Amino acid sequence: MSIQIFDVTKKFDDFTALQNISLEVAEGEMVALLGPSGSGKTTLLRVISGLEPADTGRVVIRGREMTDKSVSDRKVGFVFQHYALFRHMSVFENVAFGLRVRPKAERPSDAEIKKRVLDLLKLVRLDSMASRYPSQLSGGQRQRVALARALAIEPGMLLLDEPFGALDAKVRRELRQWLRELHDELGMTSIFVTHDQEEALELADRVVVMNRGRIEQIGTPDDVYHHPANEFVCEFLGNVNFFHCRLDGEKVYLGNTSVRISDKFGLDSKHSKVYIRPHLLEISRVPAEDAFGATIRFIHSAGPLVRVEIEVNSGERASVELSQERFRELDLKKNEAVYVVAKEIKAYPGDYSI
Amino acid sequence: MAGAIGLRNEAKNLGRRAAVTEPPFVRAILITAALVFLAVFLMLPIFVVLVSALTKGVQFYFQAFTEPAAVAALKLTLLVAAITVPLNVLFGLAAAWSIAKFDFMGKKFLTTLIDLPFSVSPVISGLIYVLVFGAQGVLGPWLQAHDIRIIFAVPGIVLATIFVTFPFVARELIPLMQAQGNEEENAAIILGANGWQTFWRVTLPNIKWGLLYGVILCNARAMGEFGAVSVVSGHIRGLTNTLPLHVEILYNEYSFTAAFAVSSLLMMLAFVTLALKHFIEWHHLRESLANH
Repeated sequence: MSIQIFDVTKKFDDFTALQNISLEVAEGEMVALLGPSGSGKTTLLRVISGLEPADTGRVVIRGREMTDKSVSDRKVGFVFQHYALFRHMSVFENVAFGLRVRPKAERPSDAEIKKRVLDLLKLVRLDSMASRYPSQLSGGQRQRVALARALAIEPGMLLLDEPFGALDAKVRRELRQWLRELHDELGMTSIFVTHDQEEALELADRVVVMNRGRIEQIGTPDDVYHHPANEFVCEFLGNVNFFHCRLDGEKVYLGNTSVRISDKFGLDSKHSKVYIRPHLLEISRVPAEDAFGATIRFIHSAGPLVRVEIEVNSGERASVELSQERFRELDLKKNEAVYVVAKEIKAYPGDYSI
Repeated sequence: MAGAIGLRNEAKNLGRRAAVTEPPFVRAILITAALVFLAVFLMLPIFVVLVSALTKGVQFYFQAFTEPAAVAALKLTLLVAAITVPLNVLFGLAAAWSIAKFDFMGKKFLTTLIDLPFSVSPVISGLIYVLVFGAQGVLGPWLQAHDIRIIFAVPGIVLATIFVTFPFVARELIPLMQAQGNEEENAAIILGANGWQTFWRVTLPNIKWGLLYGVILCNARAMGEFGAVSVVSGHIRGLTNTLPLHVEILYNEYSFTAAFAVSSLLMMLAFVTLALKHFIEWHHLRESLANH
């Protein structure tokens, strides 16, 4: 195990940022901490790095007790959300910083530093920018300088706080792929914080979904997306519609329609909310046994999928995703009455509260 | 720096302003009023000082600086500035650092306290030291018993000047350091730098212009302070007179030409200060423009 966290709790005054968090990250793994703002994901990252001391609990890195060790003893690479580049230093000096501040006995010679920095800049494809200043770089370039600077001290692990948060969509996608390749190439252990579920699902080996200072679920991207452990994870990962339903004996009713529920566990008369992902709803023109009636309110047809906003006859709104082909086939129009069938409906235990 | 930001906005809006500006005659009146005001209340006195200083010829003008009392006053003024400015740089840095980078009890109170010398009359700033260290003061008898002279001596002048000039450096640095936050410092520490390296290599370069600006204002005030120093100095010629006090003494003795000559020295200091201030603002503006 590369990083082990045991029962960490962290409070800021009366706000509990982390509550009894335990987590293990394997050597060479890339883990995403995913959650809404205020969920404690950045605090957890800072506790691992040592920037923030935990109130209780332990942090063990590569088998070594690090709980009371200072930031510099932990030898972690940290990429800050807004990069925190030294604005008065050139790109070269930024990357060289971690080497230059070493105690004299451990400090490499100037020639070695130069070679090391230029190698790193080559790695992040910025070798032509060595003499520039941070203010002269684009967001994506700054991000890569921050990464090279973090790697310069040859850290055992890389911690990234919202690494793509300040970048525009296109650069973000490119850098994401690149970072994953770099991670594999260097054989590092990486943890990154994000609030973007797409980013977490695409990039990470495992996703840690956090909410209100707790871990809701840990699992592979497939796991957390297809088998969300609870309502929160279900809602947070991807779009989801929820409906109020009614229990009548063994049957579950959505409005007047009896529906099949794939995961019925925990559904009782008190708890009457079910979840359906938009792509698991199907629109048809003919009634079926478990189809419920709905009216089309809006159609967004730009993009690979067509998103149709519907109003179910019981008054609830939902969105449906269907392919362009299917959309043309059905020839849907605004305000038309249609039938909707759910391919998969999920329910969660009632004791859960958001 | 507020001035620098204002300048930038002005430059940006220049093109658009034409459409919404006042009619030409209003502009002419406003500009004339401002210029006349400046001429009467600022330029005229400066002109008078220079002319009066030179009425008895260049030789007399220079003699006014070279007589022993003037030399002593100049030396004392430089000495006070040389002690006060470094100390206030230290205090200012410490205060700004703790206010900008840490959270602690009484932080608001400390911030308010730093402004105190600005809001208190300089006379009172001097008087508080007389009340504490003077012969009738709280510590007076003890000091006398140990033969330590503070009031009517150089230490008193230094103390009063420190008090009066304390806010300049801190006030300049606090907003600057608050705006910069401590992300860069965190980054430095995580890269293995110790506290000292972090300060010299990361913090100081980031605040150097603000610091210099504060130092210059602090220095100008330290050399020019009259009220507080006047109370604690005792006006002993050749011993406890600073340049501003020396000017007053000369004036009271009807040596107008000499008084104006020495004044012109202080005025020169003001011009140098303004020029430096302007240069720093310009430099800072250029750097901050390059950063956006």
